Amino acid sequence: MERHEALESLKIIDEAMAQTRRAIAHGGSGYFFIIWGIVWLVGFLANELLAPHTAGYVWLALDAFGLVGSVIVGIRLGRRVRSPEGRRSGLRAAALWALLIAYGALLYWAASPPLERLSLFVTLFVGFGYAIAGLWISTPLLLTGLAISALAAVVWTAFPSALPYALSLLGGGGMIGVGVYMLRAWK
Amino acid sequence: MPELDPIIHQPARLRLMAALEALKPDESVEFAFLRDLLDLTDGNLGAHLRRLEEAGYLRMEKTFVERKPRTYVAMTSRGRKAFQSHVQALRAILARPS
Repeated sequence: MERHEALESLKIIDEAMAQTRRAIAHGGSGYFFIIWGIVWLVGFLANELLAPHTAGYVWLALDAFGLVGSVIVGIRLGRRVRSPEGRRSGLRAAALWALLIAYGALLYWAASPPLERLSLFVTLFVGFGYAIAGLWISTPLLLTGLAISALAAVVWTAFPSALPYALSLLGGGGMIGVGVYMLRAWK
Repeated sequence: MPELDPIIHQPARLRLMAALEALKPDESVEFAFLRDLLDLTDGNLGAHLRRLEEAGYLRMEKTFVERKPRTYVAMTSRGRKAFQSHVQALRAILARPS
């Protein structure tokens, strides 16, 4: 075998190993981004276009869709690679989100923000959750959390009335776009 | 001096073994995941897996999840040794004075 052929084989090996590690670690994350992007896109548009009472029901349905969809996707992705550690990581991730939801509810109760700041409060807390989870799970999730938080803070400061549209179209739409990109790039 | 392994040397099997080498020793991976990852057809991947299984480099486990058959693939310790020896042989070729 010639040197250039050996070099080519080693390159193929390095690429295949890196691609496998990336696919296992991040390959399915795109589905979560798409699911929650749809929730944000529809939910914040409903806030603006529907009566508050109706929008509340829409959010309940969307949150149920997001949670059930995430659990189904999580179980399916967990089946791709079997390992004792993978099961523990899945349970830890589920516990993380349960804790975040519980603490979000407690903070909301303690801070009692005025109704007009409800969207901002929830968005910042969800952005915080994405960023914290992203530190463990994936850099794109961390960056999404920070971007959503910055978007919410900037839009609320400059154009408070545009916040629901920004969160719907830029936040939700952006998450769907990131999710599609991740599925294509990190299959 | 380590020698090139003709079973592993074939390009698709080289990528397949590299993908399995990336797993931890107690991990196994689903057939469909490997197929999509390596851009191979079911038949093509199946043929390569059988070849490597015959050599004792990997083991396949068939199981049922929600009544659907699923096949999980893992590298054996023999396969890991063979792969690492193949990589050493490739590096030795690179280190050879030209």
